[in-house]
Amino acid sequence: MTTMQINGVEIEDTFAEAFTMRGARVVITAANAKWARQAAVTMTGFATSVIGCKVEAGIEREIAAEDTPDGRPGISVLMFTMDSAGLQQRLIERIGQCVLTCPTTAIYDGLPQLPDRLPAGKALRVFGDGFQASKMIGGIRYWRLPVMEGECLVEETFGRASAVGGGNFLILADNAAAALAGAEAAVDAMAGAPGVALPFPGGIVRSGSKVGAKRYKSLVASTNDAFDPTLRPITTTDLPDGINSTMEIVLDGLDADSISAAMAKGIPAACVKGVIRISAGNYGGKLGPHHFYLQKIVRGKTA
Amino acid sequence: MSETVTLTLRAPLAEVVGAESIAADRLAMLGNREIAALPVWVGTRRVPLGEIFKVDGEKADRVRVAGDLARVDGLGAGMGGGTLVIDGSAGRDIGVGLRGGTIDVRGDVGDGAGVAMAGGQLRIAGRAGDRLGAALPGASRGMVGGEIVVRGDVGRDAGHRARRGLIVIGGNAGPGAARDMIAGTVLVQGNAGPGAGAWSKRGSVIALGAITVPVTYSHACTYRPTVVRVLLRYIRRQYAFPVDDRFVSGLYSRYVGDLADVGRGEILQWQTQ
Repeated sequence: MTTMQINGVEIEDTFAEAFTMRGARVVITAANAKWARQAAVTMTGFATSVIGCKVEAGIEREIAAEDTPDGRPGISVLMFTMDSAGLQQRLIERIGQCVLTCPTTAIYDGLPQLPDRLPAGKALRVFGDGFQASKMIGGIRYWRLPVMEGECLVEETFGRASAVGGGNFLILADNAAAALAGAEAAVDAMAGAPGVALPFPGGIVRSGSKVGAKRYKSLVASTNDAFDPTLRPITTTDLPDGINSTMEIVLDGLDADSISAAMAKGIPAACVKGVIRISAGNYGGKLGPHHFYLQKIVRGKTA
Repeated sequence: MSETVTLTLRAPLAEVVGAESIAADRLAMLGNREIAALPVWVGTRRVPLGEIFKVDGEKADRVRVAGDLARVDGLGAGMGGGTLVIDGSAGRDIGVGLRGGTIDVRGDVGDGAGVAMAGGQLRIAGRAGDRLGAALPGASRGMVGGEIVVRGDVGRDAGHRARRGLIVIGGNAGPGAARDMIAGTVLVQGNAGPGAGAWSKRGSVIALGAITVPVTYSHACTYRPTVVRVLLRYIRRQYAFPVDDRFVSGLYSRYVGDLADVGRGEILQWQTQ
């Protein structure tokens, strides 16, 4: 067991265990940044965990107008599911219901270099009821969907990445305010990290879960009692003495390196006054193929 | 193997030369002697290419043709890949049936450039003649893919019966641009001659200058089409084609037509206000 500390906060010699997912990047543009963000916020709503939402999604970053296909302000959204068919369906639903409906928006693929393509835009074209039209520009097909406002432009296909979901770290603190402050600082430090989304509210999870349940056998997930300070005397706890609150940061990424790079920023930032230890959730390495060793990452090495 | 195959005209031409054998992907497979032995046509006589052109280099998919080529027809016909650079003006039928790769003409071209092309890029720094990207005589379809960018004026019937693809005209277009167009896009930065878009089924004419909209088109609305923004920014980036910001972000009147046919085509006319 190797000891490591940042600002007096122990970085536990453990690892986060993550899973292979399927990911897509959707670039939304609009007449101004306000409407681009509104579409992205709507699209990433109710998308915290595949356990209950079928998709995990988050805003990746804002994109300057000069860097978008149509020269308008943009924002990129990352979406993650457990399989390709699910990703195609979620893209159709969320672009169709949340972005197509949003004033002035257009929708582009953010992973044009990937050979695996999901034809979500092609599926959405039928909203045009036969009045839709397509245009090939630079080898990319776009669909022009007539809408009451005027016209919505959507790219025909979206790149599908073999992605990583469930990267995480836990912030163990001596009080709830310190745990939250550490988590907020970590989220701020990771803001705009390329290829990474933090799908939970404000990027933070207070209700980390374990696989299954002890009492209710039909449950897919239930409270992570090992890290719940209120249950310390009546369960097998992983909390050291003096811990009164735990927060979790969950990271989904287009690849493992993106998650490692974000964690390398987030973990040191989380080491604020009142935080005692940084830990991570894993299943002993038996379930997920991606392992993010906290101390290695902090030292600047990849997982 | 060399980086470039250079074909230099040995002497000024008194007759038209048919040089359909000169295509970058074909020459990429051949040695110097084999290239020199390729057939070209001088009038009705078949002669070796080496009699007309001095051949330097071999087995390269970048080919440069130099000299006064205004009487050389059919350069790059059916080309499927590589780069063909014409250092000056060229004759008729350049890039006919082009399938892939890039043809870069530093001067003007004659009639029939890019006729029936299916892919690739045809870049013309000067002017082009009639039937740019149009159909072969009697054919039901003109170009079915690829991109043609002409910096100057073009003659009549550009994009006639085009089924797919993009034609960008930096100057003025003669009469009948996009006539009988099945689909695809013709962008005219200058003025479009009479009959533009007539009998178009699903094609798009984007007019940044003056255009007389046929009476068989009907005004739909005035709006800012995002697809035009994407297209104009693309040709700026890809071809260093100068497009003013007022066109990128501007308002366009959309006319739907040709209502005497399928009626799913459009003319998007840029509005000065």
